[in-house]
Amino acid sequence: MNKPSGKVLLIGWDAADWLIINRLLDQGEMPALKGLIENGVMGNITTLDPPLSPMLWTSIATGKHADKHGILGFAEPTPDHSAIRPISTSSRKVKAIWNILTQNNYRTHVVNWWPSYPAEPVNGIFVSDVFPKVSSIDMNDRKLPDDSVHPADLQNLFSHFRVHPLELSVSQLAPFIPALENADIPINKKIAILAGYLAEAATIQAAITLSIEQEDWDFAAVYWDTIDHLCHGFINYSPPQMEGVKDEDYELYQHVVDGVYRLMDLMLAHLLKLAGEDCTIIVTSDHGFQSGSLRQFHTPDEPSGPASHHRNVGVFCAKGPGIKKDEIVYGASLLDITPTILSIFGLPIGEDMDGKPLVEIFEKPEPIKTIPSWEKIPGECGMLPNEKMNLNTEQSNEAIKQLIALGYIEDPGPDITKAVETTIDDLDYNLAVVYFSTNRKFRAKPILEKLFDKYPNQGRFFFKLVDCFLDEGDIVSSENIIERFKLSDGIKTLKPEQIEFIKRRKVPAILTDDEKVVWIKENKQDPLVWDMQAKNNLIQLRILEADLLFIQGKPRKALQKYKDVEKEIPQSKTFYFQMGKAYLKTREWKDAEKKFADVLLFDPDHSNAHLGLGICKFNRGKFDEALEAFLTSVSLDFYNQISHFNIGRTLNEMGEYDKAANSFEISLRIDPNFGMARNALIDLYENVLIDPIKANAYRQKTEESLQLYGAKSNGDDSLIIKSKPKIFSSDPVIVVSGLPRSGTSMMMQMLAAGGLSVFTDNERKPDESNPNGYFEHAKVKQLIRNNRWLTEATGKVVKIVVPLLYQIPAALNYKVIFMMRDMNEIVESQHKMLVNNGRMNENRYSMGIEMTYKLYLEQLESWSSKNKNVDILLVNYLDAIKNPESTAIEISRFLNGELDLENMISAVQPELYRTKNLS
Amino acid sequence: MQVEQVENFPIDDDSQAVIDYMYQIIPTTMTLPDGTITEVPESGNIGLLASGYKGIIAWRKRREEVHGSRFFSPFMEGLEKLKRAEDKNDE
Repeated sequence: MNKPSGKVLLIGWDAADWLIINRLLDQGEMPALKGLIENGVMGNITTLDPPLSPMLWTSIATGKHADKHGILGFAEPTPDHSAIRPISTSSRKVKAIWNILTQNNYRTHVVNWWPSYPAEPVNGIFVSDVFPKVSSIDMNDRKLPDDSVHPADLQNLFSHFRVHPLELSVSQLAPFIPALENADIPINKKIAILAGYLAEAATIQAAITLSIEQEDWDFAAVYWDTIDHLCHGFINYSPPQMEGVKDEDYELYQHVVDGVYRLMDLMLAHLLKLAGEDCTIIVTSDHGFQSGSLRQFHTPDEPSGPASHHRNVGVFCAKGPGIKKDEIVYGASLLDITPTILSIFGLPIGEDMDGKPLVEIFEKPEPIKTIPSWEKIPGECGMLPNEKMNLNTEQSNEAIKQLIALGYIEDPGPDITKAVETTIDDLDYNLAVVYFSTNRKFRAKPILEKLFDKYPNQGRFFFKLVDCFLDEGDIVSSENIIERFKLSDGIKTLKPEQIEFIKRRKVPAILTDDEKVVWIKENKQDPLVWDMQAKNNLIQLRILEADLLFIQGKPRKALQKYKDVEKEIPQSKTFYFQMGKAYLKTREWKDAEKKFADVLLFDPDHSNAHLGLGICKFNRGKFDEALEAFLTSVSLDFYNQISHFNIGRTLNEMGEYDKAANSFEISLRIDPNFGMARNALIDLYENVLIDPIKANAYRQKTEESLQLYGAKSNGDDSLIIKSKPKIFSSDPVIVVSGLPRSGTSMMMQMLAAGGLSVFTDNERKPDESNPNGYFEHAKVKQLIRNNRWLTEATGKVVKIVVPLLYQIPAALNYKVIFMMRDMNEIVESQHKMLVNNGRMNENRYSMGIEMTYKLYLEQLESWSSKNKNVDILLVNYLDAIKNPESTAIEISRFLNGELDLENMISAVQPELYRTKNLS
Repeated sequence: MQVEQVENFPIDDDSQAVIDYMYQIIPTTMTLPDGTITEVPESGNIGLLASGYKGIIAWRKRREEVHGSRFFSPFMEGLEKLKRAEDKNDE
């Protein structure tokens, strides 16, 4: 295979965030990154759930979701379950990019990837993530565990360049804490933490510069967690000063976060110089970090709680030969990095990878080559041999302590058996979250059920499990576990006097210092933390109960409950978002718009809030503004098929039919099961763009299009893992249909009595055949020529008899109540009506009508199976007359609505059933 | 009090030779943005940390010249005192 002449340098900045970077770029404080952006592409990169760094960086390095790559958290049990240790390379089940490149004879250096210990025997230098960490206060203790560096004979040499925090001088800390130079400030824990991470950052830079300057290479990857750790420690001291931050602390630490970005830029400048012009540089983060008004004081008291401070969009930039200049790239995901690098090297993408090459960054994109899987390609690839799977225990213990100090894992305590069990549960939970976030809730559910059974008081298991049940429409199970959760102590809050009592309690003087620490934790800290969590659970539970009403089709009741909760809880973007959705459901566009705008005040990058805002604008006829909102949503989260679908709808309204078709196509590529998008395309190609071949192709299958975008079916895990839950779709048009005289008018009357709005022009007046009216609209008759008016009927009931039913456009959702009636009765009833109207002789029957009607009815089944946007309820006319109660209940359930059942029942008048006597 | 700092990590001869060679060839001067060449400060700076292994060598070499140790720590004296005090308490 011919090697490309250029190199690729992948630089990982954990938690780097555009909101901070953009400000620093404007101030001219990140010149190296500015040069990179101006000479290349930049954009958001979407993170994955759960946003835990070892999982994310492994997804970046493999192009696969965590359930495939196997790195599921921060810690893992040792193989013999005798201890826990930091998550290690040995847990990774698949090849990383450096393995694939090694297999293809490329020289590959890797520095500090997370996780990367023990070092992998790649074709190059591999410096593992234990390398920069110092575990001893003694500067002379420079021991490193075996297998920290590959090749092993370089370990001593590299070790010399490890920087110890105690080596750092005031001059080196002053760019972060300027006051250190001018005042005699005692070294405290915060300053020590800063020094520790700066020393690590310097060590990493030393290792990567030594590797790429002294050894040949084709690919190098280096990762820093410095921004993430220092943001966790210091972001709340950054400007503007947060409420609750002491003045003296603010003065001291306000420059730390900006300082770390400046340091990373200085390091980048050196790397760019060393890499040379022919090198492709990719800078990426795994997620962003909340800053400015997005910051929060509270960190959830649960494993991985610190991740709640992350933002779900990170930073992506790339420059190099063949890469576009000064352009913005949309829709990048962490999963796309490895496929993109493979493309740069001209290597095929594994079809089992979940990402896609970012072809749009290239000036001249090459056709994408694929192979079924790199895992099946035999040969030496530099993965860890089995005998290296056991890690150094001493080093593991130190690393575990650091993870505990950072809040990423809970202190396992002295009970090893329990610690191992808890760790396994955490890994299981993270796996469930992966399934949950990739539309595989049916896989998440059994894991969550097991965890909820074991820990019925833990909100994180409970709330996700409810969501799984609700996703299946299983209201009964949801309500069951809600009751179980209510009985647990997960929502048992303390009374104010109990809190006061705990706060007032004095530590017994008789205790030793160590005992005092334990006593304070158990008697003061734990109860108060638990109380805070219980209060949080209680609020979430009340919101969930409102959500449940919403899901049950009772948006008004849900809204009332949301409003009740709103009075009692602090402002929250999640809550406002739920309210916005409820207002959407009740078609109160202005109120919905306001709530989505409120969400965006908290989080301007909330892609679904932009989507909601767009839907409001769309429904208010503000198509330009709607389009802008949808495009913003897509720029923040490319893999949301609903946003693309709505872009299509909007462009369609604006008369941009080709572009609309393109958006529907993207939507369908993201989610090949998205029937509304497919049907919109069929409709567009059939009726507007007049391309029957394409229309027919979409009728057939959409499998080919999957290959282009990489959203492929992979056998067992074939579900559309890139797609997101469908949180929005347009309100359905409720259609009452059937053959003429099959009881459609009676059904219209029932629905109107039930409280639904009827789409009628009242042109056709009541007569002897239908004394209560026909509920028709003249536009329905023009359906074949013009179907645009149907958007006006969303959320309303419209009567469309067959065969016109089969002409309804595919771009909308429909709930069809189809009236069934004995054919002889229909024919007889029609005959009577025509005779009454004077349009037919009493003794003359229309020959062949019965046969034609039967054909129409036979067509119903095949039509409904082709159109996934149509739900059909068959209602027997005679049953409705005889038993209006059960019919009304059935209809109400079908429409997920809060229909007035009593009114519906009373709307049925058996005396009008004159064709045959009730028997 | 001058705390003696030595590198006591058991390092093999080959690696030590490479390290020593690097110390010989890497200068203790640096070029400022305006092109001026100046001596590396013994206290180091952020630019030296950012420049990678060469910056670390230049900085440690300069400390060796000033303090007699490549691994000098400005904080060690205080820490030693602290450690002695803790040891005394333990006794």
